[in-house]
Amino acid sequence: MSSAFEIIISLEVQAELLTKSKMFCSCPNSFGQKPNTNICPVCLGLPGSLPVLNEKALDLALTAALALNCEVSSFSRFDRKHYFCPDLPKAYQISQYEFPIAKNGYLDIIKEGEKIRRIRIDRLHLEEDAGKLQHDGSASYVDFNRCGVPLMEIVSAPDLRSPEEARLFLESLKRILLYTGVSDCKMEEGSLRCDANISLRPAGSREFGAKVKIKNMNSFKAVQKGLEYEAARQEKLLSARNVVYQETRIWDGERGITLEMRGKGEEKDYRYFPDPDLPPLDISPGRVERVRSALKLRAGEVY
Amino acid sequence: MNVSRKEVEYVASLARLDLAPEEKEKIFQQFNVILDYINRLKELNLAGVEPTTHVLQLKNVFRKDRSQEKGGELLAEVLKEAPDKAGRLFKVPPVIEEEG
Amino acid sequence: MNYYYKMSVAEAARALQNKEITSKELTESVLERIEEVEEDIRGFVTLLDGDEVLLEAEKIDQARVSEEPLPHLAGIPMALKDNLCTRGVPTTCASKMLQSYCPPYDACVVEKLKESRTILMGKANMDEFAMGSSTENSAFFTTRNPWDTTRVPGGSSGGSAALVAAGEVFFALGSDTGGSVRQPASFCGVVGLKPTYGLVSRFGLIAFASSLDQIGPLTRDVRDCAMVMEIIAGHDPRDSTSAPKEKEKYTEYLGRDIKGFKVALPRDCFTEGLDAEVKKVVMGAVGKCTALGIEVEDVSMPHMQYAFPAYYIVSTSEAFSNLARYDGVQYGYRADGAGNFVSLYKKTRSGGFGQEVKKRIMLGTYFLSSGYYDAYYLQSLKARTQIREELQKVFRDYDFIVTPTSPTVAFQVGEKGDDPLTMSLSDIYTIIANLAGVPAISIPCGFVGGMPVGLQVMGRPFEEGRIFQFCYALECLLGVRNQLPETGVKRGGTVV
Repeated sequence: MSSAFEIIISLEVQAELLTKSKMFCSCPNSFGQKPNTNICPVCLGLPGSLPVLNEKALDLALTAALALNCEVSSFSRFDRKHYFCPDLPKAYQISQYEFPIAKNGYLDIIKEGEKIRRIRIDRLHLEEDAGKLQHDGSASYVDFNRCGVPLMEIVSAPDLRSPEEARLFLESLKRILLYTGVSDCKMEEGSLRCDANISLRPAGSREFGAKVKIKNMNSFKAVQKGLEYEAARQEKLLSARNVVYQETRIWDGERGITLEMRGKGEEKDYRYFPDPDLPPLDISPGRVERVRSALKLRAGEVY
Repeated sequence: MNVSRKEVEYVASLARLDLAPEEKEKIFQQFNVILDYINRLKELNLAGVEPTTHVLQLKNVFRKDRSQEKGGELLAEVLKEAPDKAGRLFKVPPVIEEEG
Repeated sequence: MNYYYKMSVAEAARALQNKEITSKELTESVLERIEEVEEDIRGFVTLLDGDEVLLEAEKIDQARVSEEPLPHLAGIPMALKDNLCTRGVPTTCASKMLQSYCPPYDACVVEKLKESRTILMGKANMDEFAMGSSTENSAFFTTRNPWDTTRVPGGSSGGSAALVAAGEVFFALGSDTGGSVRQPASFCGVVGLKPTYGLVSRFGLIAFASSLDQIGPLTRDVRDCAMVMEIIAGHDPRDSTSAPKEKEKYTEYLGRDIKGFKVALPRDCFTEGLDAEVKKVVMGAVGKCTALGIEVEDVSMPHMQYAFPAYYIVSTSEAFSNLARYDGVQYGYRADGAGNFVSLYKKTRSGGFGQEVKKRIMLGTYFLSSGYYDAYYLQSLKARTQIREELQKVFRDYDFIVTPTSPTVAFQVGEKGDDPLTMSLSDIYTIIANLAGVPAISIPCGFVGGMPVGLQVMGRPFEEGRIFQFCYALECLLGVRNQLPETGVKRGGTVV
């Protein structure tokens, strides 16, 4: 990368939480079972079924929030995020939009042995996972086992300045989530996933360029590689005075390139609204303190 | 006129509905009648009023983190309802558009 | 032919317990009645096999003979609206989308009714996905009003109300999102209650608008309503919006003195659009309240005029979301010939839903889409707050709010046509109870031109007991209870 451009990266990390049961039903939170055996009316979104929040999922999200120096919200709420895909049985994902569990944290990353950079964290929220799709030439197949597995999404600020920093951020985050018992962070099994937003701007500029979202980077190395490729691609476009379009691209690890996503229809409009089936959360200082002391106890064990 | 035919078409597509021409026309007409009536709500000055998202003032409703395997009978009943399947998988026409 | 089917739930339960009749006889009586009138009423979407139903009745009779302890309503035939999930029994929401769908689980209320050993006769017709006021939106057929089969039974729980009124079952459950239990109760001359939001578990009720929906009983008198509520009310940990309340003995409120109760009469409800004859009957009933030592006063509720717009926005928005899941992937109807999944969705949803449902899904999509959310959805939630507060204020000074249930008696089949507003405006008195989450009942209070008129009583949240106390006294005073259309069923207005 020439010094003519500055790279701006933010990460959206999703971590599956180490609970015994799913987020809104009592199906086991487990991996690698026979297709469509770990399901019930609730996680299948059958007509008439209703969600009830797993308290442990909240406490694990709070643990992560405190470990990441976030401000915990006293009021938090679940919203419905609508999109149509066969692996999303209700055609909405129970997620959090306006009132996430926590906001405004940070994570320090160590670069070149000692140099510490502080990366801000914008928000941390809870949501449910979707099922899995398989494809052959003529059809697609849905396995709903993963539906309703508790996920925590952590969104960083656009503070990362290189693909290497992005990888370092992820490695630090993984260490923290493992130490605190929040997630097992196995990227190859999908219990830790990461999308990245990347844009370039002329060095010294304060404006942001058009950002591209990269999906399907399935290892720490892939995150760095994918972002390196994308940074180079954008630089080439910008150097030749071409335009970078705001879009979502897929990392193809085998070919080592990012690809345009096919068949993008209308603009995204998730039609979020508060989920009427789930009363809001009033996260008391008492609960936060309880989680904090458990975290300190754990830190004592680890160090 | 509150909405145009084009907007009605867009909304139908967003809701994953295909409308026959006469159906589209009828819904377009009805949309405008209904919106005319509903727009009286905009007269109300509701600045500073808290929205009611849940009518009961419940908070923090949880379940304990206990897991329970589901019986084979339930699984059989679920799969029986599938319009199309391959083994234990639900089969659908090819997914060509990723969303999310 | 015996006339056991004419008994109330309480009478039948007593006769069973005293071994004056058997559940088999009771069920046979109902089956004969169904044979006699169902062809004209068409209240059932699914009618269970008579032999199997009788087998269940015989089991209960045997248990009774051998002095096994049985629940109070054991052996009494009933029906369920077809949006309540019944394991292994089709649950269609009167939609092509779910025409052959058998849920793999029972709704909470269904479990409770099974535990109480009541006998399920079948599933009752309704407007598709509970959207409508007449059952004319059923994808299958229109149910007829037992008092005049050229008229609608009301809706959306029209099948449930008609079956109870026609003597085809002793009671039924419906669901009420904007008046869907009370309005058909009013049209068919039976009692219908929408409980306080959160009192009855919604687990297994196929959602229309989750923040408004409640399940409620349709019965032939107030006592029966209280008895059914004793079974279906109560906290359910599977419904996060279920209120953590102790169970109540509602029947204990019946017969208690009602002197000193204060009734509010919102004058905003007695204006334009209210049929003059209906008004006369309702005011007549209200006038008699004073004879019971009850104070009746006019109140003003100026926000009532915003109730309908707020209701329409909230209900369609939630409906869009709740009905997004019908895509032909896991269960239900799937359209043929889709080359990819987007086309699968569009074809399935376009072919599986009726026009009213499509219209409401689209309105909800519109209200929630970016750029419109604040002007419509958020505004409606704020209006909801104001309507709630207005009701709370009235309830500080008054025990009940009394209105007509519907501005007219049952209308003719086909009469309302396609006008998107007139049909919905027939819910104008009932929707505020859903918006505010308060309990509301409709009881018969007289007739206009041979058609029943309903009176609505709204009460404070979780004060169903006091509503029963008041309405039981009123019912005794008015002498209108457990009335079945006398000579069976009128066909095209003539007695057969």
